[in-house]
Amino acid sequence: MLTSLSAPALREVIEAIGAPVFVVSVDPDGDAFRFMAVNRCLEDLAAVRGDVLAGAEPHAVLPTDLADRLVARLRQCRAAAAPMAYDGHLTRHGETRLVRVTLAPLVDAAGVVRAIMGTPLDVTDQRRAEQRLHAAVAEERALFRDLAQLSSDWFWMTDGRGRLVPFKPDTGEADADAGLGDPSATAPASDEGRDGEPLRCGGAATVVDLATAGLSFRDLLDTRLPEEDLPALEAAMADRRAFRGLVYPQRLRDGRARVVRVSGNPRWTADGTFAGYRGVCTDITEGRNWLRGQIDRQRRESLGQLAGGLAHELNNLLLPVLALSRRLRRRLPPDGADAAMVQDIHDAASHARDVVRSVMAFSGQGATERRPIMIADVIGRAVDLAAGMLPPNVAVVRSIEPLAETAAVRSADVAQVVVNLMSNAADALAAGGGGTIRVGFGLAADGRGARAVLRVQDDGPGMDAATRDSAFDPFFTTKGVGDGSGLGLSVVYGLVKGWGGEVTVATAPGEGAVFDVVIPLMVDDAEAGAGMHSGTRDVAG
Amino acid sequence: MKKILLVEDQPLVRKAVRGALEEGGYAVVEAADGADGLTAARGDAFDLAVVDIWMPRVDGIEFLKEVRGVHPGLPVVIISGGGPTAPLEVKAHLAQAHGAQEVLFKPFEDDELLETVARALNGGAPG
Repeated sequence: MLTSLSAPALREVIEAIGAPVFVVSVDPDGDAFRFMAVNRCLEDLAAVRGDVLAGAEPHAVLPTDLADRLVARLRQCRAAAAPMAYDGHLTRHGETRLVRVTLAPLVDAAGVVRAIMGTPLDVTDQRRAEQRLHAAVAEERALFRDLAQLSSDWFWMTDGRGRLVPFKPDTGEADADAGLGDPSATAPASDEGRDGEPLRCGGAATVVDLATAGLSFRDLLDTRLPEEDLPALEAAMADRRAFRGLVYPQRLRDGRARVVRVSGNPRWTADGTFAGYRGVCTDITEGRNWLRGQIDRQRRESLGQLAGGLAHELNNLLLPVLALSRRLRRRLPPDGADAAMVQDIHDAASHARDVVRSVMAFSGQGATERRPIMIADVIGRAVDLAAGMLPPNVAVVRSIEPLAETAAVRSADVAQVVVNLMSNAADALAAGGGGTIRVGFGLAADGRGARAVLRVQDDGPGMDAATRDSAFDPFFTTKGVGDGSGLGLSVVYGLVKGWGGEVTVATAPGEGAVFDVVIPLMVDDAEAGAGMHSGTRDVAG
Repeated sequence: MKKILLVEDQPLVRKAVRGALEEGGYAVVEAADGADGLTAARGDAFDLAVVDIWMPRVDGIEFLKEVRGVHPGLPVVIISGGGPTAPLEVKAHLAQAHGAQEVLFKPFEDDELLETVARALNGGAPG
């Protein structure tokens, strides 16, 4: 037994151990401990000499603070009569070394602790590496937290069945017991670094306004709109493939549609089990609307230029047809068959002239005489006029504010816009056996200066996205051949554009349609004289 | 007999307008664009000019500016069918700014043309 060995023999034994070892004897009468032997490794570690330590109490040969700590631990070990380990430190050549010390009591046959063997391992390098690692992890965590808070994206995570679960950046694992973290919570994120706190991202209030936990991406689909990339997203998730930039419309709890772009990576546990997905989701609704507006505008401008050039050519060709057929008609006997034929030519040319004028109105090429008019009056009268022409199963509800403001528009054009919009609404309602058209007029509430808004709203079947996008195109019609020229809304577009205003439509299948016409108002009397010279003729009238 | 200078690049339009004017009792001299029109204006005296706006080489607006140097008081009726770039009313505005008495939009009929010409002739010198 080790307790029966002499100090030199003990030294030989512990010398064979390739780690620092010391042995102290325990004084049977009291608390005193004396060094019995140390090996060379320990001499190196602690910068001490075994022959100096041998037979000495710790306080006699070690710095007081080190001796205090060592003796306290030795007493603990002796009292417990069981092995123990603790973290300590010592100073060697002025440098602090971190040590992990294991103490093992050596007992005699009677069970009395005779000596204690200690093995202090130098763990300085290991501990410093750990500290660096912890600092790096904390830094990354802070970086991730900042980026997540600053990002307008929604970070999401699913379980293995494709159901959304609360996002936890700390462990990278979803915690089903963490509560259904509703990402719509608007409270500022705090203590995100703490374990168990789901991450709530910053600005993406629109996209994250969804009680998503437990739902799939399909559950979030706005079913009123085309699915777009959703099937591709589902296919990727079924194959457990990463996917990037897939776009589809989601519906918020308040019913608004938001178009989002989703990217995701599959995630796997350490043992290779599929654990679900994590990814980001970006609200691209505004950008997409802007782009669509730009494309629409460009397309209409191109169409307008084309229409203007075409109209010029046609007008030149129609002039001789109209003028000469009229002249010929005069020269022929009035009741003859020839005169009737020439009259038909003239009538057809007149009709062609009307079509060209409608196209020119769309393209903003039409001639208009614009004077400041009391816009509310004109709209009120136009609504009365249009209401009288509608079928009896279509009701009209008016809400016209009697504004005193004027606009530099031609009253006949205003009437045309009102009549065309109301006729269009009535046509939409006729398919469903009637309904209600609401016509409103008032100041624009958008704070962009002197503008009024005319709103014509129907509760008809509404339009899908493709129909809506083409609604203002000339010759576009959903009616049967011969039922409509397809020019009505394009004329509205052209006239309103000519005023410097804008016309938009909000619609979805089953939800009716809302046409808004924004009309610039005149701001002072100086502009009131800016109408056209009175000598200008008005061809559209 | 009043003499009218007709400046118009489209032959069929020219023919139709000339016919109407002659039936209305006017003598007509044709020019196929603004440059020809200016040449004619420099070589002769006219009671009135009927001028298209959108023409190759020298267009109607340019013609209006130049012809003022030759015949400062010449009444002018602009006839326009529009074009791909500027709206009709802008061109009409420009034409009036340069001293055209009347603007007539194509396609028009003989009666409209003759009424307009008569009005321009009676209007005297442009302001």
